[in-house]
Amino acid sequence: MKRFSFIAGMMMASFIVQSAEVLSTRLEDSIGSNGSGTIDLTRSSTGDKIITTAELEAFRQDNGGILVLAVDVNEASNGTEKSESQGVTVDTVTLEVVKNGITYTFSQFTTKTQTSVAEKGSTNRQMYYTFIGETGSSRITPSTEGDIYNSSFDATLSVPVDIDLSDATSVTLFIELLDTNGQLGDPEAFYDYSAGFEDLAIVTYNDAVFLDELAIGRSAAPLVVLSEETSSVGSFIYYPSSTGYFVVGYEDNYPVKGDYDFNDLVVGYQVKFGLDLNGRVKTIEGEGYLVARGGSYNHDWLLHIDLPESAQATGELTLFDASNSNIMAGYPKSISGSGRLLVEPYSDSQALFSDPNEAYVNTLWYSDHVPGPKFTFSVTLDDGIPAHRLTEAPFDPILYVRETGYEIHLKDFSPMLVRSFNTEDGQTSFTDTNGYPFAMVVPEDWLFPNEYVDLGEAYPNFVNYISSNKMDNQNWYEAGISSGITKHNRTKWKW
Amino acid sequence: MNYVNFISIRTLSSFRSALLGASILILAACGGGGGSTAYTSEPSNTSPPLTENSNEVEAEPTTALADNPVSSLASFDNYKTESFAIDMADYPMEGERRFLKVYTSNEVLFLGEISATGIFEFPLSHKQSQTVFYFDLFSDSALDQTISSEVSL
Repeated sequence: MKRFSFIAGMMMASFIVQSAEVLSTRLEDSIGSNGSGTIDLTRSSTGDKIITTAELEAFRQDNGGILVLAVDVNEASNGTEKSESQGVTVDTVTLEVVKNGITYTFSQFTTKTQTSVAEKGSTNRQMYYTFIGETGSSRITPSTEGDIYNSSFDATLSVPVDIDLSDATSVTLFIELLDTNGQLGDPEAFYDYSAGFEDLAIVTYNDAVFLDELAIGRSAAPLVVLSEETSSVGSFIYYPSSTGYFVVGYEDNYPVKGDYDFNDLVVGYQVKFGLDLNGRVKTIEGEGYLVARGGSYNHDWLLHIDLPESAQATGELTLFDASNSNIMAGYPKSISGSGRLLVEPYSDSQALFSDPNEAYVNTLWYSDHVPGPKFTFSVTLDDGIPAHRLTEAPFDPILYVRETGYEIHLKDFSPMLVRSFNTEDGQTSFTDTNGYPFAMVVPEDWLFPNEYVDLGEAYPNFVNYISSNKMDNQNWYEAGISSGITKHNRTKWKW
Repeated sequence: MNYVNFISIRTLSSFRSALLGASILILAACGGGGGSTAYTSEPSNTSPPLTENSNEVEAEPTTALADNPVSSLASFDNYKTESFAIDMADYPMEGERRFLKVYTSNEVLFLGEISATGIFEFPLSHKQSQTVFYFDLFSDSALDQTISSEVSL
């Protein structure tokens, strides 16, 4: 640990906690965009702007001898930082109390989360406390009084103080966030400070507990080390990476050979496995977007990951409206699986994803971009499972075509949907008469062909890549002919 | 995009076998979900001409999939999965906790706390062309320097 030590904060058992009539109060000062804050704890942001030292003492006693502040994390959503999860690293916190002409300094502090990051200019990582939060939420505390109610405060900061504050003449908090070495990527890039301002409030015990129990933004944050307990998930395997997406394109005329534009439905998706300290998978999370719909058929899209037969998975699926980023009606939905995880983010692709001006969505070269709905899912497994016992990435993305009743998989997978007619009709192979698949997963650099453009014409190296058994032209998807490929790239479909 | 609705074939199971063959033929003719014959019959404004092929004579070889059948054994994977393993005994450190980051030049593939003992391994999925990976191993002790290394798979 650098520059701080754990104080058994809760060591203040000797304090007699009094029933104090205090309400959580937003402070006037905040941590600036330079990562530095000088916070006068006697100045509130509203009303008469005065917090008396007697009130500060009441806050201290309400929290058992600790001053607890809430922090509203406001960071730019770039890299793995996003609206649902963003963080900053705390370098130093010092509380100065002037009382009877004497300055008392308190430099020990805790937050609920830590991480290991390197400071700017260094590659050597060390442990630091962090603030993790999100944007755009509204805290509905049990009490409607106080400034935490209906606010967007996220994390808490605890500073043990073992003197009475009621007769202090000034109480000032100095906070320095760590300038992390963002060039190293995550975790440094996630835990940098980039936007500010981080607002602060002094909070009651009940509001502090409320915020701490929400654990805001933690599940999606990288390298979260909990300060007080062992997390069930200590690490993540990212597929294809923490910021990347698989893109799957389909030919939906199955079993009849299609036009090879592989854009009848296009979906971008990513998955991460949360591992416990034994290296076993405890959680599976996913996120994705509808990218394009170039087929006239109506589809359902599912993601299938095989689990060991005895494994149970339970969790939630959420769908977000592209027009306003809000959760769509009927979501989140509970999902569960036994022996396999079968998530169905998109049912009725025509209803979910349409262009008011065109029959197809994002596949005509002249059409304006239409953003597609986003999904997220998260499940917890009842027991840890070795990662190699789950379906390998890019997993089994399934297209079900409602009109034909057929399901379409990547080559070498088998039909498995109860609703489909594949098995009954003997349609269990997923290559056409030319030997090509009806579904293909490609890195996100791939720009799918425009409507009716054969993939091989849009990407002249593709055929050689296949005929060379993938030895030549391995980056074929980076060499498309501009007139044949879409302009709707990832910067447009990922919102 | 003249689409013919075939949903009825799935509700009239007694006629399914007879209708299936017909439906396939009609779908192909209509382009169904973007069927192969639609390329030549659709309005020209659905796609700009491809610069490389706009004036080619018909007999010349093309790179179109339609003109280049492949073996039924062909693989279309653009990703490969391999096992990444690290033996903690090879990296003695002072700290009690271990953290591992596995990454490429621009993407993080694994990040988090792992056991300080034994062999840690996981299935790593990567693009076919990606052969070089990096890892950082670090601890919770200020006495330990981050160990950074390069791995070729």
